[in-house]
Amino acid sequence: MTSNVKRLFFARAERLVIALLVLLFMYTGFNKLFGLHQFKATLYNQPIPHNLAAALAWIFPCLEIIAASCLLFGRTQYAGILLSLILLGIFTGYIGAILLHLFPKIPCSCGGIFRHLSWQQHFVVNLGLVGLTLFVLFRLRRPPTEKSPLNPSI
Amino acid sequence: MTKIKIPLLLVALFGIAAAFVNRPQASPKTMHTYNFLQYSTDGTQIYYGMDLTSAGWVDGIDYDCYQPAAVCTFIADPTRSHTDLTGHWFYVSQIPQSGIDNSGTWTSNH
Repeated sequence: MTSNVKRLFFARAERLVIALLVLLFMYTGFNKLFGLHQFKATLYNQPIPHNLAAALAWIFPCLEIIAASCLLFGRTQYAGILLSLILLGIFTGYIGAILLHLFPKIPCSCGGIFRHLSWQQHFVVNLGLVGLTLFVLFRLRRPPTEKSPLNPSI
Repeated sequence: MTKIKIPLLLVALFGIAAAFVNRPQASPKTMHTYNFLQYSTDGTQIYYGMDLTSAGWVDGIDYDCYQPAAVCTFIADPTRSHTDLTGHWFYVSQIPQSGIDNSGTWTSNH
């Protein structure tokens, strides 16, 4: 691949991953809010204190929607990617802890788009998303040095 | 003022619409709240229970389980209830760590 084709490929991949994260977090965030009662019940079945579960039922969907919203604007995209990575890191770490049997029991799986996945499948999907988010994070951190075919104004 | 990326905005709106269409549906049935706790003859607490998921019950639809603390507390569809050995109604999402199941089999590890 020539350098221009490679650059174009990675630029398109970056846009695709950002779009995927927007779709994912808007979907999961609003899905939790639309079914807040069920989401609270799911959290009550997790090995965390009830007061914390009640607070997290609001905090997690709000953070997901904030992350997705940040990704919509060029100026806040980096912050959105960072927040996405933190959220995905928390979810992945939590699932990892469940798989390592660090909790006395394995609670029911989370709702939303992952309702039908096993914990193992959920973990693999999350790891993939973390990898893709890291890819975008490193690309956004790198200052553009040459004219990009997608950003001729640079 | 920073510009919004229109294609991403469309993706976001699609995500919100999909979340609304696939929102979890509340059970149309009337859900009741139950507590179940039984004292054995020596005064220790025992819980009766069975695995509702093995009976085809769906968590969040047929029942919601509130984490057992001192007493098992549930809300559940009263038409799908079970009785324990003494005739009490009970609902349990998981086999408790100690107690007997509804067939009288001792399930305690203690």
